[in-house]
Amino acid sequence: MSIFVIKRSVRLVPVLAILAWLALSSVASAQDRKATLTMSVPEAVPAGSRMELVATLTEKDGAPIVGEIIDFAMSVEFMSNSGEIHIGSGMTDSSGVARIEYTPKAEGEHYVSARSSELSEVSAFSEVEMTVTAGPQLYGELSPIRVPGANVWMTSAVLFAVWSIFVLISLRISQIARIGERERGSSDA
Amino acid sequence: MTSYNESVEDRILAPLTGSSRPFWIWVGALIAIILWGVVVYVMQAREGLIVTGMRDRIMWGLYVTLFVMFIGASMAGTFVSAVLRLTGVSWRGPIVRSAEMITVAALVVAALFIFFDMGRPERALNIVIFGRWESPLIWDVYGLATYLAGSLLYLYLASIPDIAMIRDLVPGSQRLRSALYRAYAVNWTGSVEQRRVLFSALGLMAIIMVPVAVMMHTVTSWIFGMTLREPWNSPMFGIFFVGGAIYSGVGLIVIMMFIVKRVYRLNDLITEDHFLKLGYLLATFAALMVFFNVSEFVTLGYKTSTDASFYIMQMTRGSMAPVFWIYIWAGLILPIVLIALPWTRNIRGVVVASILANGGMLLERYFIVVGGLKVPLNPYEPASYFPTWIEWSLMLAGVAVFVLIITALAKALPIVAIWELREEQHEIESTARVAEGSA
Repeated sequence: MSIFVIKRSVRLVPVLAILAWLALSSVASAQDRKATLTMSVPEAVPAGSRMELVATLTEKDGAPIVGEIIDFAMSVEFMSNSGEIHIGSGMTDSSGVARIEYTPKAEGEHYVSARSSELSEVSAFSEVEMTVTAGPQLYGELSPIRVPGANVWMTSAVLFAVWSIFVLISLRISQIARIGERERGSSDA
Repeated sequence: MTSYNESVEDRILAPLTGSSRPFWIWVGALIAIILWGVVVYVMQAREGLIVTGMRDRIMWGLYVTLFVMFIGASMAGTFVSAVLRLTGVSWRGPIVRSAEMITVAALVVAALFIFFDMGRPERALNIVIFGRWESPLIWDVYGLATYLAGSLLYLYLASIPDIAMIRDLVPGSQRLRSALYRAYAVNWTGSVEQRRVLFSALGLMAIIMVPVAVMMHTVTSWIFGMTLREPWNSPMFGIFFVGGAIYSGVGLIVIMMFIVKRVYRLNDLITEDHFLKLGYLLATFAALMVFFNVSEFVTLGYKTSTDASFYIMQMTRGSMAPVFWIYIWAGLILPIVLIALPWTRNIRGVVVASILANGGMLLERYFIVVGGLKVPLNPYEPASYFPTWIEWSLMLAGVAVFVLIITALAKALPIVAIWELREEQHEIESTARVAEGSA
């Protein structure tokens, strides 16, 4: 009984091997379907500001590819390690455009990449360089209330006003001295 | 209101014309403590802040506590003096000068404690060169500089007539002293025109110094209040600090007034009435502080976030409980009781209440600074802190500097504003004459 089962299983091995080869080759042929992916990002963007990353997926003849998932990533370096960090995914619309919103936080030159999903039929990759600049202030402008002028300049203006009054008082002191001198002069005369 | 006569004037001016042996012993003792402080500070500067009890998690301790304490003490002088002047309070005469002196001395010592807290004091100038205007620490630096400049100007302005009086008393043989008083008296003759300019300048200064004082204490509170850390993360901190500063400041004026009364034998000038009036002010602010504390703890306790729960437990039943409960009972409740009860409502009672108020406020500032830093930001064991002998020594030296500055100022200027007392006396006599005439 057991010898019969083993013989039948051995006969099935080539069949299974052929099926596996067919499955793998079909996947390989899907990844081999080359497409064009173009990215558009601003050349320079200030750290902390929200921006849009846009990638357009088209066939070689320029026809848009609809409904494909595009993964966006950014090159990062930490200590002696470097690699890519996934920053979001978007699906291509009727124009073949996938877009995500992103807020860069680290200053410097960064490579932003977009690639078609690993499960997709098409294979496409694009990478662009983007400069993230840090302005004079690194904090996020997240205040729920915006009072016009309530900033560093207003603080400086208040301080300036107080010191101006101190100067004014000092001038009053010199005025007292002048009055005294005049009175002394007139009494001497 | 005050019994002013030439004998009182002589007693006020006596320390300016001569120095007794106890005075020099007093100054010598203060200088000895300060020199000990210098030695200890050199040790700290050489070894670094590792010689203190401060570490990475509790990085502020006794120095910052004392900085806040002296900033609070500075509120006393200029603020109280300005408010009394603006409201035309007739009994202000014996109080204002010593109050203004407290402000100047306290601000200098407050700045000193910031230097003590610096690991690299030689980089102090970097605060001005690289400091960011967005930081409350920088606001405090500029606030302190502004308040100190204003307080010095205010003290000087209100002293010009008295400086002129001393100028006329100092013998010509004392050349340097005579020249200094002559220069600072700015040709004061006391004419109507000069008085008009002086009063207008004093009025303007009094008006500007009230908001400047409030700004100074609010900005100091923001060093803590603008940090995302329980329990500092509170919009109440500004009010809390201003209220606490007036409370401890008034207490300090009472203590100072008591010392002046005893040392200068001014029993007929500084009366029980002065103490009681300041005592009522003290009790009012003690009650306000009780209200602020209840409001804070009930609000935090009702919501019970993890950090707030830790803080409340630490304060009421944990490691800081003795400090907290001494502050509440001895620092706030007992002063109110002392002033409320008829048999303790006297000079001694008000002075004891003032000492308790200042002791209580020192504890309050300690648990705000250290208790706040003890709350762990991550789930680890809370850190501990206790000042080392280095910190206690520098605390003692700082207090000695404070007392020495007041001693020096009291040696250069009358501790009581004589010209204001004369004005008060003149007003009293004029009123009496008018009353007699109409009768």
